[in-house]
Amino acid sequence: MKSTPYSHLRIYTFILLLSVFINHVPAQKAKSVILIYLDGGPAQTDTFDPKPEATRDIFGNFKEVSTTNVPGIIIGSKLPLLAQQTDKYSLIRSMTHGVFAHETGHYAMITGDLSGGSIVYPSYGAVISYFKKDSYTGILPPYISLTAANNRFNEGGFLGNAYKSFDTGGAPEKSAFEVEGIINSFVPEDRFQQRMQLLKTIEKLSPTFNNPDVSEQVDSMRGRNVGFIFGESRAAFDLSSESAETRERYGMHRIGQSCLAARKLVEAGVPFINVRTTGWDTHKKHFQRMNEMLPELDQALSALLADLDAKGLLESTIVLCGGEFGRTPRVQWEAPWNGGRAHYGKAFSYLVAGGGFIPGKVVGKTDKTGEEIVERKVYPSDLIGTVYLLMGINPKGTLPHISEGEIPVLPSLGKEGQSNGLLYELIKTNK
Amino acid sequence: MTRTQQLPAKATFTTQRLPAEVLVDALADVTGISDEYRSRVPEPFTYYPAGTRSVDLGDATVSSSALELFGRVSRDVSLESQRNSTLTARQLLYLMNSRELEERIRKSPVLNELSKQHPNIPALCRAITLMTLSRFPTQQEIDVYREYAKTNKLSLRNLATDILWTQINSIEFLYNH
Repeated sequence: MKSTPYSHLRIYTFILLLSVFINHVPAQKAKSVILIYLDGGPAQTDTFDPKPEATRDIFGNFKEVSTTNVPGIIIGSKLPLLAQQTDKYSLIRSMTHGVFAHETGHYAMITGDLSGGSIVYPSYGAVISYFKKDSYTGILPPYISLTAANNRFNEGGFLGNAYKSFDTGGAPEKSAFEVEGIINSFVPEDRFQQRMQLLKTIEKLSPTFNNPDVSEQVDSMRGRNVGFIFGESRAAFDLSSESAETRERYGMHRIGQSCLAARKLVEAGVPFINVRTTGWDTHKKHFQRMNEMLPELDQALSALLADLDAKGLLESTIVLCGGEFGRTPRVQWEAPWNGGRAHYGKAFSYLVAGGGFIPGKVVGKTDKTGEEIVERKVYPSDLIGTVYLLMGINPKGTLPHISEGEIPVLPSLGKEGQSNGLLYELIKTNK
Repeated sequence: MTRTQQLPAKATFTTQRLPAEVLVDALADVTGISDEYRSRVPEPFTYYPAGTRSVDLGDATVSSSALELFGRVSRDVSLESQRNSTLTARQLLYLMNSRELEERIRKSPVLNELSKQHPNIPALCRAITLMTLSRFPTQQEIDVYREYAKTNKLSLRNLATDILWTQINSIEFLYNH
């Protein structure tokens, strides 16, 4: 090519356009994330990746499947209501991290970190609260767990306790949902106000403590708390304001009413809500337990998706469902398990919906026994990185560490064996 | 003397909140009901005997929401400098309106005993204040509590509940001074 005075400009323009294209980040779609966390590890073969063509050693007692409202996608027979909502979510059938123990499995699935380094990463709820600390102005904490976060590892990681989840405690399925520090039916409002008045009077009389600076600071925090206790926050947790019909649609059980509370918290603008249900660690009595637990999950999650959609909130709300790993596709019929499934971190499933995720698709594939991934491995950092992207957080960005300086948000992202690329195939780009 | 006046003589003392463990143990002492401590890392889980004081816990694998709330450093963040002993709104929320703490105050065997032993308001005030704030109440304070009980028609035991609630929420209790 003959060099002209302007040829370098053309090259620069080309590079500029190329870099814009490569770094193209879809505009932020999602405002909130609801993580339905099935603590203990749900069996993917009985939920989102059924294997009806395998043998009884794989499908166990669940040979039947549910055909869904998306042609070509089948899910477990115990999830008939979710099967009618498949056009609202997609399935990842090739999640993997290779971790087979609860504590490290939780760590991998909740932080996205598989690097094995010495740094303890924060949960993605904590990371999202960190990045939203300036833009989120709601009165409620930015990261709320119904009813408690997993405490097997440090949720706040190196970001510290300030970014940990706010655990509601209490039981949303009961007639009064007590929320730790906010809704306390033991102390009615008038008694509380009497006490506050007493405290104010008594504190001024203290013969030993007199520090106006501290008093002023504490008074102002107390004032804010009173607003918090009796203001909007109370309404956001008040499930009795929902119609009996709505409450029953979600199901009058822990996971159902937690999902309903999660929807109300989304309406209040809370960026990250963790609905954590336990009991999925079914080494024994697996099929009996699934017969009890899956219908509740089915009811709660399908009601949540339908409700978010009807209220126009699904476009801006990411819904995720899965655990720290899956369970062995091969049933352990022998004693002492007598029909159980063990931990399985090699291949398992996650459901993703809303907030910019394309619905009605399946990503990844396992072989006919479900034991090996044959198509498109998805690592925790790929999933969490995609969630960050949809929440307007750069998954390749950094976080401040007290002694290490700026370190990657997702250290595993882009590393061989720890990442296989963000889920661009499930993201709507703005064209 | 103001702090600035004190500085040349180095006669200064910074008021600071009680450290997490001390505060949590103090709450256990005044209510007579302590947290249950167990460690879920590693398996098999370790259970500490009832009445264990948090200052005696071997390490920070013991999960305790109260200790974390008041700033105990997690076991996996080894820098002690990350310990946070500032008072936060979230901590005050716990002290002001936690059902768990309220239950401990209501069921408190210590308060049950004190309100039985001291069947009149001044004596009860003295006993609770001595226990919680390590000093006797002033006459003014006793008058305020007496008036409060009268206005709200509280039984001695219910008054004991509100006195203890007030005192553990007071800055005098929460801070070294």
